[in-house]
Amino acid sequence: MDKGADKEKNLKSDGQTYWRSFSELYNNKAFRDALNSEFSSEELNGLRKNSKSSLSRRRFLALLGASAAFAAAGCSNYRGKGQIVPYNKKPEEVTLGIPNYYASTCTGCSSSCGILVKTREGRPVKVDGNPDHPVNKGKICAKGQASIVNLYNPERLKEPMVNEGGRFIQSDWNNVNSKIKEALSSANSSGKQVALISHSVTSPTFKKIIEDFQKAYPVAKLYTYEVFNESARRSAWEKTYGRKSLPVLKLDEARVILSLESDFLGTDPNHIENTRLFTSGRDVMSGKEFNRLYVVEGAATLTGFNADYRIRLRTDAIEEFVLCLISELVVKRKISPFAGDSQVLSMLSGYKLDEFAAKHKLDQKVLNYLLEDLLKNQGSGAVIAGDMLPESTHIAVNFLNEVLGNSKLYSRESESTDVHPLSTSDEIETLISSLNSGNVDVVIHLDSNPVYHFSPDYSYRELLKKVKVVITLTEMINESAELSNFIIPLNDPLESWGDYKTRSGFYSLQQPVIAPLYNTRQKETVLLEWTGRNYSENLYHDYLKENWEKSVYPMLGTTASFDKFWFASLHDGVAFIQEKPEASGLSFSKDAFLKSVPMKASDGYVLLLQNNNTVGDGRFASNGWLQELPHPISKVTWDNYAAVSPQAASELSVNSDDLVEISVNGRKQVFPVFVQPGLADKVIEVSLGYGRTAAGVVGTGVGVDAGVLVSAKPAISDRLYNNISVSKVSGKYELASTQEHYPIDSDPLLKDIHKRRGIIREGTWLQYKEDPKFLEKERHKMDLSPINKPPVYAREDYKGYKWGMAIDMNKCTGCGECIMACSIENNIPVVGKDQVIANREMMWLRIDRYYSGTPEAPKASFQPMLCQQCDYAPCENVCPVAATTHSEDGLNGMTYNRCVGTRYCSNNCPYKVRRFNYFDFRDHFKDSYQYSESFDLMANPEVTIRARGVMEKCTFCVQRIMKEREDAIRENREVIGSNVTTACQDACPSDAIVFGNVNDQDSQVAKYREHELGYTVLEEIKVAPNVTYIARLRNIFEKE
Amino acid sequence: MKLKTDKIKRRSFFKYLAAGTAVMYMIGRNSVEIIKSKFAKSKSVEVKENPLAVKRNYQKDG
Repeated sequence: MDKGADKEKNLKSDGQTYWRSFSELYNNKAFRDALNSEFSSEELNGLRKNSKSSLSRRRFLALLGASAAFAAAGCSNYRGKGQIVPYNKKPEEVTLGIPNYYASTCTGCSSSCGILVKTREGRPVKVDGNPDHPVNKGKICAKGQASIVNLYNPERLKEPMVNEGGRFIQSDWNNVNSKIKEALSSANSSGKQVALISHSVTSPTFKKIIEDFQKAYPVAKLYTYEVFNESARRSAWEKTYGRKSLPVLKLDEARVILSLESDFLGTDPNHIENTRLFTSGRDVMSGKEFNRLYVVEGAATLTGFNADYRIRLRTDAIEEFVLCLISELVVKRKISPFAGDSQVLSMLSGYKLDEFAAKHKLDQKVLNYLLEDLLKNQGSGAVIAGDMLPESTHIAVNFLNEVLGNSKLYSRESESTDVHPLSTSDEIETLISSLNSGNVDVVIHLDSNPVYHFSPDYSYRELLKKVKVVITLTEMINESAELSNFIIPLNDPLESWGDYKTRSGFYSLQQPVIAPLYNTRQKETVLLEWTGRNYSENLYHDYLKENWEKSVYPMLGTTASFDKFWFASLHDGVAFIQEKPEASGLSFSKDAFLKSVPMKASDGYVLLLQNNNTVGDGRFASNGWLQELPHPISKVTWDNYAAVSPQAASELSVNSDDLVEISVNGRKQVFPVFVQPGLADKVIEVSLGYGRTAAGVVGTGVGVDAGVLVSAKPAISDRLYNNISVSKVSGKYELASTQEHYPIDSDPLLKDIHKRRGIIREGTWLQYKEDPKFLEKERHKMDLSPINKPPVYAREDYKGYKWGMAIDMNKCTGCGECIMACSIENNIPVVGKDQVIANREMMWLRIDRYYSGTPEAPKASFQPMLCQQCDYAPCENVCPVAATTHSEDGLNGMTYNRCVGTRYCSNNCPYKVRRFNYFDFRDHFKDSYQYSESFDLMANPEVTIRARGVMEKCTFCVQRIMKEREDAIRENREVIGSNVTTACQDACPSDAIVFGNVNDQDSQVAKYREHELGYTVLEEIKVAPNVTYIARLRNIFEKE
Repeated sequence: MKLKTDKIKRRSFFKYLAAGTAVMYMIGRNSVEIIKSKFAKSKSVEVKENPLAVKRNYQKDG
């Protein structure tokens, strides 16, 4: 087209033309080129000189898209998890999705409780008590519950190790065994001692193996020890009654109990049985009058805070108190034949109760109540002394029980036996002097850790250097293993065979619920190999079975075959035999009482080295779940501390988190302070079992080692010291305490706020007896301020079954076993100390401990708090994505994969029971400890593992409810509420927690719900919670 | 007016598309993990029951 001609035409035809530029007017080449390149790539992508950005929009979007794609790909958490395939050859015993249960025995302490281990697809996932075991009857302590973690601990030893030039090298069994046998033979031939050091021996078959070992190596000598032991009680019993076996107390028949520095409900051995027996005498449903508990203590223990009357008295004055009581009863009131015994009268002269009470500022009224109660209930009372008290105190207590006729409460069916007595302190001294003089060639630590446990007076760590060969048999590296020549990796108790005898009348059996995960062996197998037997996988099993056939089976006098008996015993976990206790023929000897030298109180500070229900003597330090379990009184996690009374704190000018130095016989240690209400003045309490230096990623460096203060020759006992010195030192140490986390009502201006708002409701037995409906009448005193608004949505009538829970506060002692059971059942992660300090502990269930009264002598109230599964749950209607909803059977459900983490539900929850996963807590520890392969095996497959950014809370064990539903559908029946038990309910030793279908009027939970003592927490806010609490009744003489 | 496209640039576009897809696939499949697992030792923890243990028929039976 001739543009020029057109233009001229335009120009000529109408005299006008339109052009935009000279280029167009003159139709030059540049103009014609531009017409043809409307969509030039240069225009789009090229550098435009006058442009502000060198990047075109198209390129920018292209780069943006590519970056997003790369970022998404990089941020994916894809890890090759392998493939899931069903069994090619399914083991006969395993059905996918159906658990198996095995009876066994717990070896966490010397009580040897029976356990029932639940396995899924061949691996243990939960440990509960064995209901057939006569001691613990279906319940197990927190250590037993958490023992499952030890099996899967990734830091377990997997192969034998040999120390070569200070480094531990993995070796094989043949090599290690041959070298050790050589060392043993050499010691034997040279006449030098082989020292076997073990914890208490409660297994008759293990004892026989030791005897066989001693036959093979006559120079071998066994030394046994326990940090927490009953030696003083046993030796006092033997001196008083001439018997080695201790009687079992029928606490369920006791009307009055006087506990002297004995934490028999908390940390003392056998506290599971004690709790069951004690709380059976505090059952509101039975209608019987409660028993009455008096506690005289210097410490602040669980037992003390569960007492009806608690008397604070420094521990070194307790024996004098007992003697004053005896004097009052025998000399003044003449209730015993000993009133005519001149020797006894002479011993008791100088002990006067009223003078003692005045000197120690005790409440004379309470002492009068105590005396009257003891006198009124002669023969049905029990006086119990704590293990840490010296032998002389136990002898005095035996005398007091004898005066009161309380021997009627000693069981005639069963007594506590001793398979092999613990070594005396003289025997341990002999070991030390043999080591010192170089007379010991070989030391074998049989699953023990004396380097950590022994008193520093022994200098045991240095003495080991004089020994030619040190062998440690252990599951994990510990302080003793670090100094050894050979480390022998042991099976976990869940991988082991064994038998135990702690009481007359039955044996407990232990069986492996899983084959060893690693190349480990049982200590019994290893000892048998060293005696010359050839190794086989079932070496100890065959030995054990053979021993039972020879020694246990004949005691039955049964016609059933041994094999039948053996299988039945393994099935039940316990074998009953005909055996009557010696205790039935007790004859008391007053000579021990007359000869004993009483403990003398001082004026200075008293130090108590306490047991604890988490790490014990330190052997559970590497267990994160136990470290994170709050102390039942102080609620401190992850550390020990020096608990001081408010008065001592003011004297020393310290507050919580300050540091104090405690000095005992020249040895010093610095501890963080915790101001503990209720401690006796000038009494300082510290837990043992902390401050380990070789306890893996979790336990190393946690807390302070109080064992450095233990004396080899203590003046009173190895856990009780007076005339110590305490001084403040500079510095701070933050303790992670959960006691102020999740307060339901935190108005600090109102004293006893938890009572006025109806969080804790209590009364007395007298009040209840006079007027069973007193609680209803008390409600008007509370600040209820009813909100006169209708609920947001109409209340549903739950047809069919509706789940509810009741918690009897009379039975709840605040022990915390329920928390551990819940944590293990529901795959709750361990968050670590720093996150606990930030209020981020993840335990779904907590036990709130409220004080009332004065800081010097408070009362404590314990209340388990969990998701109340409210009918009008305030969390449900604020979730923007409907991740929390209400089910038709009354559950407040959580849908984890809908949750986006706004945390509005947690904000709205009045009970503060929701837990948010701020992090992927499993990735929190060093070296991705909780992501280890073995921990994957521990997870309960019935419960989802929650990811980061998701809210979680108690679900009333919905997985167990679903199981019952599946069974009901399969069996074509209705759901039976009593078939479902929650994990916390299963674990509670006092059966304080009751769960079931509230619509079933015959169910226990329905009866509790309708009980006159039943109430709900914060009822005034009308959220209609489904957890009913039964008000606690204190059995005191006054009405409150 | 027929649009003239740059044939060389169209070919490059498809090359880039193919290469980019392949790279994203590899990253998405976490190739490093796959290569590691191929050279890794076999599973260190094996779960087996002990054939001599006696299981309970039901949790709460007598």
